[in-house]
Amino acid sequence: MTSFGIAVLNLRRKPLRTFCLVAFVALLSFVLSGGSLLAYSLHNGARSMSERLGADALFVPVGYEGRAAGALLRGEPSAFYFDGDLSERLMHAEGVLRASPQLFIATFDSSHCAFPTQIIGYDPKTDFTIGPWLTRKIPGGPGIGEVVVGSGVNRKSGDEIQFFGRLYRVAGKLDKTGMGFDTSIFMNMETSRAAFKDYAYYAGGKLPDADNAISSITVDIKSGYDPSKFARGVRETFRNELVSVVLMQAMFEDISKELGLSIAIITALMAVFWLLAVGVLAILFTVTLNERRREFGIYRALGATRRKLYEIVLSESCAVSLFGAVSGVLLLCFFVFPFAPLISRSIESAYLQPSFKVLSMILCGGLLVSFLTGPIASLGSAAVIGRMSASAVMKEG
Amino acid sequence: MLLEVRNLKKEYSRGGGVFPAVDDVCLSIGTEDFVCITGPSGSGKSTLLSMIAGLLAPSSGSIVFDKLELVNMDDDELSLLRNTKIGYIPQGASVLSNLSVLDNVILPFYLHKKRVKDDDPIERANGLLARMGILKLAETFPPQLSGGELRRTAIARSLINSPLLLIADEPTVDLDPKNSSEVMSIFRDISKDGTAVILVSHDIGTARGGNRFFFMESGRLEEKTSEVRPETGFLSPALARG
Repeated sequence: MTSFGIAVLNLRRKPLRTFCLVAFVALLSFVLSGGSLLAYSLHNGARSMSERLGADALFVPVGYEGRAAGALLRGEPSAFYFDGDLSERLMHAEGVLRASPQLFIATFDSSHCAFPTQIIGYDPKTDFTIGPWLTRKIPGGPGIGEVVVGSGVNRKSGDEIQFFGRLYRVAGKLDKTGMGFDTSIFMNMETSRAAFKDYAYYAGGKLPDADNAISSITVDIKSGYDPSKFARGVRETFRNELVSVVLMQAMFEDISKELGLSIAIITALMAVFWLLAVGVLAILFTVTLNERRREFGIYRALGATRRKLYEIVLSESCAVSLFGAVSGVLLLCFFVFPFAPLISRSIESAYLQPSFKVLSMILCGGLLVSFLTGPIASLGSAAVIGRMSASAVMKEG
Repeated sequence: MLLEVRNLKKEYSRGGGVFPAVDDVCLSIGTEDFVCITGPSGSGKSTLLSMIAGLLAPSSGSIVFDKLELVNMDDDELSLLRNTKIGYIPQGASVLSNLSVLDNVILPFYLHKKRVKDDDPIERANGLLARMGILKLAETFPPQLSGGELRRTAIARSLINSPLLLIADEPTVDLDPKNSSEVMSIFRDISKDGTAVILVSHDIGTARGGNRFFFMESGRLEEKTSEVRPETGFLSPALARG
């Protein structure tokens, strides 16, 4: 019968009190671990986005700036196009260091398409944004008639996938990015132009010629050019052609500001909740232990040292905290992970859950902080119990 | 002598003055003594027991128990002494409600790590419970026990470490005469087996159960062996005034 054994016996005989304490610590553990995970995932998503959209600017048709961002960040199927002749001129505009065209095709929710998604065609010869990280995972990138699928697409390497009645071979599957890329399909420009012809056949309406169709152009600006002046210059030059310039840095700054604020709020809420938890637990332990003064007086009368009383009190708070912290983390795993995609969509921002190793560290951190909360909160009342006069307590009856 | 108390005093500050709860008490107890102390409420009986048990530091005086001066011992040493050589039964409900009867009895065995490995506390506890007549209640929890059963549990617990001295503070209070008599019979048996007993009781009849009888009033202790009327069990008028 160790101090911990005595503590467990004491806790078992007061199930309601124990359950309330455990539930409170579980809530704390859930909030701390979940909050940390959310903050880290947002931060991770922003970093992933910054890495994968490493261009200075994006040329898109006027009015499609939001849809371009939606396609890249959230994988919202979009289809918008420049006039073919214009793209060549845009790629050689004043201040452009390097440029690469992209072709967006929105697939249909119909029998001739596997599912509605965003096809992104890129030109491997000129591309400097998608290709570098895509070929790290799939060397050489997709060939003609092949596609590379995002992590969220339900196909694996070697499978076939149908779009507009044509079958494509899946050359590889990408790692999770936390962006719209996770649900997108990547093709090289040649394949995407063939797909665009099929798309035009089914979609009908006025569409540009497949050989010249371009949705956006990713651009790196020459050094020495101010991005804002560059954007203004392009807009003025192509005023009649309705070209808009999305500056990535500005877009990232907005997103970073938004994410920074969200992360700061989450962190502040976690800190407030932790302090509140320490306070509430300290009050609960104080009230509970005050009611048990005679019990501890009896321990002293039986020969328990003051240290033994500390051990029993701290063992009780440790046991409560341990059960609570583990329950909270398990609850988090049970509820949050299966719903990660839903959370990601509802946040409408880059949300990328960390690797298993980092995830384990976050959960262990949340578990440790929650676990320590109980003993920290009970230190004061343990000291009071240790200092009390057993003789006086016995007289109190 | 097992216990030598010399000029023991405990004073408290009260109402701007000094109140002597225990006043110049002297007491010597041998290994086979069964000492009963009676006296009015507030006379200092429980305070005296607390000091002998090492739970309360005296203001002055000396307590020598088993050749050890308690006044010079630190709290950890006193705790160990109380655990290993003194069995203490506090006043009122003293059985821990969160533990079963058996766990209550073996608890003192585990409060210090100075045990020989082949000593089986459960076997010993079961023996004590059998001696108290409550072995069948070993797995029962205190709220389900009667007052008499609770006292027997507390007595069994006080004996688990084979103490040299048993201290019982009002062990028969709120018990009916039958249970009270049975509990006193247990104490007599313990005394006969070589464990000295100091018992405090308001009840004169109970206090007569020992082989030495003391009266305490206003902090002063006096041995009154010849002044109890055997035919009635009450004190002589001089003593009964309190």
